Amino acid sequence: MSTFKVVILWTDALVFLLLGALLVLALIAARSEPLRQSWRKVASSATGMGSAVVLGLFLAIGVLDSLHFRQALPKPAADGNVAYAVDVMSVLDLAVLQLRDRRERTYSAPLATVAFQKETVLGPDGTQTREFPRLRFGGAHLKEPQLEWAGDVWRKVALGLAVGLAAAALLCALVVAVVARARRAPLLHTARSIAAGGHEGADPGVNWRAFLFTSVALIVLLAPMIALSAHYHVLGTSKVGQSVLYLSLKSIRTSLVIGTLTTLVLMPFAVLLGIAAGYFKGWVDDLIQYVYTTIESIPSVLLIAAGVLLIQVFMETRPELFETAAQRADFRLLMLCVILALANWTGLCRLLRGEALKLRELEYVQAAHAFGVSHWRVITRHLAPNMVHIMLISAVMGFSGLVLAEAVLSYVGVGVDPSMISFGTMINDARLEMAREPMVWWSLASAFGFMLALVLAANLFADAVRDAFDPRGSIGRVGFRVGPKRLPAAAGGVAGASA
Amino acid sequence: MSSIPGPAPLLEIDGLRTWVDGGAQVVRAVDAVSLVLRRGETMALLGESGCGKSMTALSIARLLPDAAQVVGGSVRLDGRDLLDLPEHAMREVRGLRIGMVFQEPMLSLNPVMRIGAQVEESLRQHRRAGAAGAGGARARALALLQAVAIPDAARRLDEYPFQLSGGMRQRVMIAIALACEPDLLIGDEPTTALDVTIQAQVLGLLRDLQRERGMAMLLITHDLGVVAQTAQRVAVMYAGEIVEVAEVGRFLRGPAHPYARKLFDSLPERGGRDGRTRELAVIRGAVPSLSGDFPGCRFVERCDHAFARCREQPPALVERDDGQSVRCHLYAGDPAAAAAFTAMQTALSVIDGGSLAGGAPLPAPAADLAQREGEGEGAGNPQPLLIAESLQVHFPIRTGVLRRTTAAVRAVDGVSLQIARGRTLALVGESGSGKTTVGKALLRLVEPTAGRVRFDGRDLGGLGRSALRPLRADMQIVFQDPYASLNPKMRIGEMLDEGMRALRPHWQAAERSARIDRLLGEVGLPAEARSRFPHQFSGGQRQRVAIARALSVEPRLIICDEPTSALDVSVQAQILNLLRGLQQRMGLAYLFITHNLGVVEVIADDIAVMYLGRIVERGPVREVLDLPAHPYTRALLAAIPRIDRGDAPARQGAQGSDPAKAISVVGDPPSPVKPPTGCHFRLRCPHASALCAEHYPAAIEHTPGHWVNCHLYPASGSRTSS
Repeated sequence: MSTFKVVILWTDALVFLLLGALLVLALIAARSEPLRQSWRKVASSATGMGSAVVLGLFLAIGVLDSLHFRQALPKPAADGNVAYAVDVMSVLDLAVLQLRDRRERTYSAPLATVAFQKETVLGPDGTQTREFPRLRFGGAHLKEPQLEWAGDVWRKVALGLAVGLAAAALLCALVVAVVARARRAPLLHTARSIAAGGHEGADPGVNWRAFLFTSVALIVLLAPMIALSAHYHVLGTSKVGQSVLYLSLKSIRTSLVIGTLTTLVLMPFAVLLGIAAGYFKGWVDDLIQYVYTTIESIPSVLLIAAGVLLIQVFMETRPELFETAAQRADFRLLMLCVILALANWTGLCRLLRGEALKLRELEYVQAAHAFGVSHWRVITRHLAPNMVHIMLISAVMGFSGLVLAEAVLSYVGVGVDPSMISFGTMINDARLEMAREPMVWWSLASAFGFMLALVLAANLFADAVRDAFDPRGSIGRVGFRVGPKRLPAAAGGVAGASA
Repeated sequence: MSSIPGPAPLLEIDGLRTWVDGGAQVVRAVDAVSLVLRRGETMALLGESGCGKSMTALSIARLLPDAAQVVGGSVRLDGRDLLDLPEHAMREVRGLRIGMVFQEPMLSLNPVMRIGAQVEESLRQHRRAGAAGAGGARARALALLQAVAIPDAARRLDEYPFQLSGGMRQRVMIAIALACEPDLLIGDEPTTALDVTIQAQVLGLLRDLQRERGMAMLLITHDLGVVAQTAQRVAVMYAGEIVEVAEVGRFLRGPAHPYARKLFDSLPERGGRDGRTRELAVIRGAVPSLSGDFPGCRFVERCDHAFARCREQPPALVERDDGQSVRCHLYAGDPAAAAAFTAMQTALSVIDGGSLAGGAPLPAPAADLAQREGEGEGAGNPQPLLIAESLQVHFPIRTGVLRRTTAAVRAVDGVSLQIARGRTLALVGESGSGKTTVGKALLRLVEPTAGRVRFDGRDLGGLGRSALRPLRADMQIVFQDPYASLNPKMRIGEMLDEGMRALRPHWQAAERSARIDRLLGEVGLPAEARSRFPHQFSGGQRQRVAIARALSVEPRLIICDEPTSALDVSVQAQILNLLRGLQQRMGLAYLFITHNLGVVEVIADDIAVMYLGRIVERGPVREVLDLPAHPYTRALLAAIPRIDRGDAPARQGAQGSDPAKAISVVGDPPSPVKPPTGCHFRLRCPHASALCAEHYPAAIEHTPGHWVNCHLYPASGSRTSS
């Protein structure tokens, strides 16, 4: 008798498909010299490496949250089979079980020990008093919250910091050891070279300094939070008493799924149609241009709202398709990705059409024609590989736009399923409480903070990717600066940097 | 150099060093360059691409790109160090004291500003408009446009750059540079992007302006002809260093540095009419990477005269008694050795016309033809390999909502030509004459509008894409730009394989692989090149790859579309030698499309001159180049900047004592949308008569095999043809 049943939601399958595809692409990139060089350039830039670390953390959370299962109930079902719980859990839920299960009744401020609202409490002597009731979990271990609270919080922060710093030191030592081994250099020398941000030889290797800097900053930030979260609601609780930290963590997967799967869905449309339009010209071009101009003329919110309503009706008429609420919500998420993709493929398509128009006149394409090479081969071997940088740049840059679009759409009410936790639904819920005095600010602030971190990291990473892959103007971005004026003694300094 | 008598120095560059951030390493583009430019003097800075010429010019004007920086030395204009000036003072210097003209006239003008406004802007910037304000500025702009010989200047003031031809735009650029009467004009390859006839006009203009205004001119060029025509002194740059400085006359009579000598020897026009039988001298290898230190001479790897000292010690720039400065150990210290070297050089020059090495005569074509394993191929078969009859390519111009065709660009307007087996036909003309379109139309890369093409007796007209495929193996093409003609994302091996797989499907994989190795050897590339990507090769090597790719399917005709015009002179010689060798070994026929008549003399058997979509003269190369009949051909020949070395045989084609003036063409080629009535050339022709305006002249056989379309030659007594 198994204690759980693995549930593979649609988006889970696609997320893992995407991860597999990324792995394959990484293998291809490792074998192709130009691609490897470009990625090495990304790894050598400080912003690229730093944002990659932050994105990696988000990605890890998202992947953990994509491994779903249903726990077995202690009592078998009526027919004797194992019965499984109705709610679908993820590995992430398991990891933060405390956050998930320790619910308060309603709002409470971050790190609070009492509720946000006064309630009528029945005293032991039968008198009714209006006061802020103690929270069930937040600071429950304190006997005299007013006296002990500050000291307890500081102690926990200090403890967290100490453990965090120790972990950071360990990580640094580990990285230095690994790099020293790879470079076959003495430990001390390697440590110094990493601290100086220097690269070995002419090859701009991985920027370990940026990696370590970001990692240490993250650890130092997160360790006290983890230490506090055992006894407090670090970011407060929501209207129904859920920990806002938990909601924020769960929202990450929703954002990542929207940002990546939408790109996955729109890519084939944009690439095939864009290249076909630019390459064949004539009526093919006219037709494709007509289609995307029409789509672009419809306000995209309208298009998306119509699409979502359609899906909603479909789901309501066929409830038998969905075993659990999670599957329902997931189906709607997937459909939202598809709808967003249908509304968003035109931009990339336009770009690729322009590039195809340019490339088709290039002499190597003409040479392929002179060899009687088939259209399909010209497109797949001569045009598409030379547009990869555009696709890559637009995919990475589009990601942040899509994450933000989800928030806006959910806010408007045509986004994800209301039962699905996402930044948009968090903001939507918080909206109603903004007018309160005192204000319930933490829901909105956490959604804002997490989204900012994710989108900023994605944008910085996109910048680094664009710099590395864009064939234009990559020169002059690394090293070699001897100041605004010529320096007569600069020879030594520059030679040192270039050596 | 300070010992040179004459006017005071205007510009003194001393130990200038400019480094460029090349991404992975620092490139020392300019390394301790010292130059002196006197008032009213024209100095040419000569060198191949990547030698640091442009970086030197940009360093002088402090217009370096972000990635580059001056790291040492001084640039003194009238004794004031420009490198110490703050930026606002430097802005005054640019324009007021130093004018600049760049290579690409299409990119140097603001496309949304009127010409007049752009000239006036420069005037206003430096408050030279005078008291009259706007009116004064306009009058001055008009005067400037007239000074640079722009016809109808008053109207041009209100036109936009797109309404002007390339030559006109370059004149406007010169006018802007001259607006504030600078003391120094820096021209960075100002005529490289222009046609020869236009180049002759612009060079003449620059010469005249310089003489009238007494300004100094620093002319950056890779073209020895331009140097000979324009400059008084020349500085040769190699790998970031000045290797030779001399008076132009002295330099042309006897360049001292081995690099300069080699440059001369690799010029196709040198050697006169015997060029066809002799291999061009080549400079082996390429310019070294400038990112490291050089323990010895920078030219040592490519030099035929290198000895031990050249590898150990960098030579210094030594001034010789005749004012010529050379950076070469051959001339340093040991006068006896230098004298012996010079004597040997002179002797060699006399013996074989200047070829130092690699000048072995080729086997005579006739003997070679006999050796060829021919199956009826070769010159023995009288039937031409390819015949094109009245080929037309018109590109429709669609306007209006309904996109109706209202006019057509007559890119090719009735061209008939024949290419014989195993021989080379050169198709010559200025840009816009339609020569490239002819090549593409023969291959059906563009669809001909009318006309017939027969290849080896088979009519290509009306064949579909799939029916054409077997014939594609017989005709291949090599493009002009080796950087655009190779897919940057494909390995060399894949490229060579692709054509064979498409056109020779019956060849097995092993067979193709063996062929790729053989082809790479054939074009002089190492076998490991097959697994590399194009960016790992230089321009010349890329062109070799492109040639190997064309050869991969065993064609009988290769259309070479300006295959050497994007390459440096020394590399051009390598490619021309390769093409000739391949022709002799494999019996290939070439259609060689070019604008460079010097190259024609070296490679072609027959020549056809194109003007505005039509062939105006055709015949054997010797005939046409020695006795050009059409005024356009004569003008083309006259416009080539000649290198008069005193002892070189005078060119017969260019009559008169001053060839540049003999038959100069005025104006620009007319638009192929609306060609002039009658003879297309009549508007630029010095011999035009009333008859020329009436109808287009028919082809007349001027001498046997030599056809010309011109009313100067009466049809009586000659055969005519359509």
